[in-house]
Amino acid sequence: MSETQVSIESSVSTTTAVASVGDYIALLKPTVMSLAVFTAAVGMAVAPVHMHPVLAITALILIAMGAGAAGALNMWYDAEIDGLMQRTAKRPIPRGLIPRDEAAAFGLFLAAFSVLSLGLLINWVAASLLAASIVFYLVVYTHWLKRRTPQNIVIGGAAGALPPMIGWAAASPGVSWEGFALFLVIFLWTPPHFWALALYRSRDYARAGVPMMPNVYGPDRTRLEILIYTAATALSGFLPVLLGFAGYGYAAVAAALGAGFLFLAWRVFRVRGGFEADKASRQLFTFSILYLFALFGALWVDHGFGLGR
Amino acid sequence: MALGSDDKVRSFNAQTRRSLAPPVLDAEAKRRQRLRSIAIAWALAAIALMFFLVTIIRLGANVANRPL
Repeated sequence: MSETQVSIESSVSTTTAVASVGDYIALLKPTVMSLAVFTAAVGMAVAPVHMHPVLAITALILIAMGAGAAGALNMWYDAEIDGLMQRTAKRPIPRGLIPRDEAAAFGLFLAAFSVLSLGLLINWVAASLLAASIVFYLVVYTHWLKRRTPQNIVIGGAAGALPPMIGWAAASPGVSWEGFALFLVIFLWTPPHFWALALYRSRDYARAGVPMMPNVYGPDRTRLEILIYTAATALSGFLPVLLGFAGYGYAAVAAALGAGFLFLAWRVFRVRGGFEADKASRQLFTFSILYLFALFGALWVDHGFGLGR
Repeated sequence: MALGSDDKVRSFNAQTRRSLAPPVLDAEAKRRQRLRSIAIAWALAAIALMFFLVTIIRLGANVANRPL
């Protein structure tokens, strides 16, 4: 056997890692996607125009694709720092399961497809808002703010707050104060949600060089800002009642959830050292997710799942 | 030792064949690739169906309004 034959045979005996379908789904940040889809569905349900169920499902699928595209492009851009953080090191790109270029292509394709299809099949107002949320998340948050300022998630939160407005616009082309009120709830909710995480993951963020609030201004200032933003979030939960598109049942749920959210934020503010402080931050983080799902869920139920009109 | 011209050609050919050779996948990698292909096929079919259904709904009764 010649040297050439040996080298060819040895080169083809290597195995290439192939990403599974699950790895591509993980690239779309399914948890964030589910929150976007859920809040968009509520935005649709509370809009004054009833949508045909097939059109509503189509819009939600395309909004999910758009949210997933933003997630994939974020993972493409942040692959290096994701690999440095314990929380994100198991994502498909740092693990070497999906090549970075492939993630970028996948994300760009999904972004273009979701925006164009939403425009063609539903309407161009909703499509424009979806495009704005993807561009804002990628350019303003991921590229400009994330590694530069502790206000990163405050301003960047606007991208995650847009889905209810997109849902509203899909049902009733245009923007409205009601849609903006739902935007404001998520916008104000974002800082306490992420800063609770940043409090018990501060070493992770420090290792990656991401200037989160606890790393820049310290945990005490973060705790105070969490408390202030939580109070603002709890109050904003009543906006649907004040604007007349939610009833007293919703108001009772908003009051109970707001009180729970404030109580946990107060505990984070008071308990400042050791394991108990970490535990309080973790509980606030977990509750914040429940808060948003339950608040929007209550609004959905209040509107009879949008099926009554 | 310097390579002769035949050796250079053989070396070039070997490198070219190496770069063009498809990677050999083990059973698990083949299974994942097959599932990916199936998922893409389902996604394409679902998208085609979605466009069809939305078109029918948007056209409504006008679907029947055509010269016979």
